[in-house]
Amino acid sequence: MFDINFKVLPLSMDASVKNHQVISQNMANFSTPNYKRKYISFDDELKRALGNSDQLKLKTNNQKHINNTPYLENVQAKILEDDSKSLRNDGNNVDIDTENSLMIQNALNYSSQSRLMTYAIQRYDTVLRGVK
Amino acid sequence: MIERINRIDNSLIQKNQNNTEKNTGGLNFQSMLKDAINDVNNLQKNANEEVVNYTTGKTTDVHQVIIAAEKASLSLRLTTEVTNKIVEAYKEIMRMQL
Amino acid sequence: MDSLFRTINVASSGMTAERFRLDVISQNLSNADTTKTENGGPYVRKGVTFQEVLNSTLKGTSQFSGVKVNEIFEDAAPFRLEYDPSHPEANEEGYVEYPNVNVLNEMIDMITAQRAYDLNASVISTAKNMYNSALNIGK
Repeated sequence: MFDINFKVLPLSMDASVKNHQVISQNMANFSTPNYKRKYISFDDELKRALGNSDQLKLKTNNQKHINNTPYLENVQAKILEDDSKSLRNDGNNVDIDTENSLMIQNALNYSSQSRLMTYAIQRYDTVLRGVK
Repeated sequence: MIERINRIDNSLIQKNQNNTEKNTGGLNFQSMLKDAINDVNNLQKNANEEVVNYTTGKTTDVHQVIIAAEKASLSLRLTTEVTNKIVEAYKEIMRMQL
Repeated sequence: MDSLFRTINVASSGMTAERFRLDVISQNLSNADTTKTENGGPYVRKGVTFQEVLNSTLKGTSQFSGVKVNEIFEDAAPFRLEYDPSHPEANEEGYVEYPNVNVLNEMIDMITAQRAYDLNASVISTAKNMYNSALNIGK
């Protein structure tokens, strides 16, 4: 019953939440010696899952039929470590301005994902309310 | 004399044809509705595609996604309203019959 | 990546570079009178140079990737000499070599760095507002 938006957008929002946690961990460890900053990988995972599953081409009504989305539900943001060299003496490669701007971008992403989710829900709402 | 009658006949036949075209205005409306529904469908598909592009990181402008979603939403609301009006009009007509 | 996010990254790299410059200025200022260093001799003023960063795999405005610190160089300007024969670092003629740090120039650089930092921060605010405006389309 629910279209692709209902599958893809919640996963994106999950990834945004994880991203926020990773960024705040980086900020908290701004002074920790030898700490390497962490970041999130999600976009490519999602792209691969959508490519594998042919979700946009096939449609099944029953999950017991051909499982054409083997990977989409399991797509999760991966936490990776950034081991690039730092300009600091203590081996810590966290740049507070970079983390701050990443946090701002992440918050904006979350806003747009929730707005798009609202649109998706509204479409069903329009039809359901309009039918008398 | 006979030629003139024939010519009058011809012009009357043409006029009749024009009238029947107007009477088949009902069929034109049906195709118009079909086109509208197709458009709405395409706009929905387009909006979904934009959302997928956005979440996989392909889009470079967020306003593109929002505008596509807004167009889909507006066209769906318009079509739903039009459909409601048609159904209401139909019910009205049904009530009028004896 | 959204083009406004790219803008935010560019501005963020500007802030990082200016903060780095401020670090160097602060080092210069605190060592403005240091007559002895580990290498022997007075403190040598340090400066930074910046370099534009471009991503040549992309086209148009997408290739703009901000700024990075190119190098920290040592200023080759001559040391300041002061006549003070009683100073432990005085040479045979009684002159002491002081660092080639000009405090006024460092202060001007500091104000410039702060101004650039603030302007970059306002670029980020503006980009955020633009993005939110897009999200409010149709509301």
